[in-house]
Amino acid sequence: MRKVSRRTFARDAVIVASAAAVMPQALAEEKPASPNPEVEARIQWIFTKYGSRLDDAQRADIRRLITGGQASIDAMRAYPLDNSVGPAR
Amino acid sequence: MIGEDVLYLTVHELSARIHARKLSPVELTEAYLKRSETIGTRLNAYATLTRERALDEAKQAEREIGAGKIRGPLHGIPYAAKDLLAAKGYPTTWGARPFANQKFDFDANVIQRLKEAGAILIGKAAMIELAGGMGYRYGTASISGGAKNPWNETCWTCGSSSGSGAIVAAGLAAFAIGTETWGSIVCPSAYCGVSGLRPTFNRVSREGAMALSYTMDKIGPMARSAEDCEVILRAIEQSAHVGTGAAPILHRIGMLTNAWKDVDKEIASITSAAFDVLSKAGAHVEDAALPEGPWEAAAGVTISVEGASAFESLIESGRVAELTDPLGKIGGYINMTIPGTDYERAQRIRTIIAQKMNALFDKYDVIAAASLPIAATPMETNLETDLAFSDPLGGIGNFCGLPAISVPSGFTSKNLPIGIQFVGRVHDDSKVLAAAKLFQANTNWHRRHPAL
Repeated sequence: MRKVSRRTFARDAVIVASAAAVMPQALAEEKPASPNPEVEARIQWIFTKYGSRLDDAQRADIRRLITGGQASIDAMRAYPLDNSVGPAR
Repeated sequence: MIGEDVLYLTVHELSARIHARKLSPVELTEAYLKRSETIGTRLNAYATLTRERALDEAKQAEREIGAGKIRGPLHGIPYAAKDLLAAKGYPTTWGARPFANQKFDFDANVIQRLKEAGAILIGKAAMIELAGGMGYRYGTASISGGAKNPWNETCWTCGSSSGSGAIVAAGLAAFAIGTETWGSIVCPSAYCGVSGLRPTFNRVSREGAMALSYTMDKIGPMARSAEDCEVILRAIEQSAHVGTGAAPILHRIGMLTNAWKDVDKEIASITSAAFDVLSKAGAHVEDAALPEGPWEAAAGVTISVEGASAFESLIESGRVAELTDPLGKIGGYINMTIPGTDYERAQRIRTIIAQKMNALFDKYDVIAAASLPIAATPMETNLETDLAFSDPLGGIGNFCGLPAISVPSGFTSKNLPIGIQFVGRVHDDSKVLAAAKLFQANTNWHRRHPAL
């Protein structure tokens, strides 16, 4: 079976097989550690609240996944929306 | 003695035999149960077999049909339901160890409707834990282990309706019920070479079903043909937005040029041939393109936040640690950190993409593309690192609640099935079914089954 390299696909990658394309995990591109304070705040919130449950590998995974997923959230935030555009329900 | 050829008949064909009293529902149920206990066990296809209930329902069907009281086309037909649908008195594990002992004292609405239609529940189909709601890295992410693909048992069935795909493909039941939040009917249908319908959001009641995403979960049939999917949809739907009269005429099919950024060569060729079949059958096929935008990201935020809310108590309790998959153990924590403003922004973006898709469907009755750009992958594949790619059609289709169907469109040189998907406007389920039926009237891919 041919492996589909994630490098050949777009930034907005999802794990196609996942029913829930849980975005931060799915956007798991390996990027250098980000100095983004929002990313760091999210990571520290998890470590503060749930850190006692997490081993080192899980902590590293969480850092990698949140860092990798931030670009997608930023792209969504950059999409222009007029005040008049309400939510779909 | 019922032969394998009978077990692979469509619902329509089984129904004709049963209602003509040439085939006993009890004997058919026994045959499917026996096959499920052997081949089904080997494939990890089931969470639970409901033998006692199945035989009770089969005997009742046989009595009624014998007395000339035929409820409809599903009367006497055995099926399986994904293990996130409550079945009275039996375990409903949601595929996850923390819920291994969970039981409900009622049937999910879908199972109740199928019971009223005379269908026979023979088992609960295996599934990915929590339908992938906490994320997963491997196809083995289930309390029952990885579901093996009947076409190649070293490969996965895809998920999260993994058992449902295996059951239909392996001839363990006449049909199965699956669910989709993003890809969970379309993907296993494609990987397993079966016909799977994702109905319009809210067309089928979710009462008694595990919730993952309150605004994106859908329940639908997986079967041997689009025609069967239509019959099953009629039985389980809570609201028939489309009449039951004449089939819709397909004027234009939009062949998507940007559904996948990179398609396996073999699959591209098979899909191109599929469009040729549709053209020769009288459909007007022309190039179409999905709108560009952050739709997948918005859909992902929606599922992540709604999933974190749906499973908040599991996450807070720390029992996510009991999940099988390494990603599932931590995904909930990550999803808890997504700001509310991002969730609301995603819903506003949903308004935009819904409008854009409506405009696209002013030009096309349905849009179509390969169901996936690859065939089934080995069970041990790391989905996070080796199988991540953009899926705008799946993202948009599920985000907007659009109906879709995947049907077999060919096989690779390694004899793995490939699918083509048709997607329609909200409530145009009958059009996606019409497109799939047109394709299947001119092909026999859906008639193939694996050697087991």
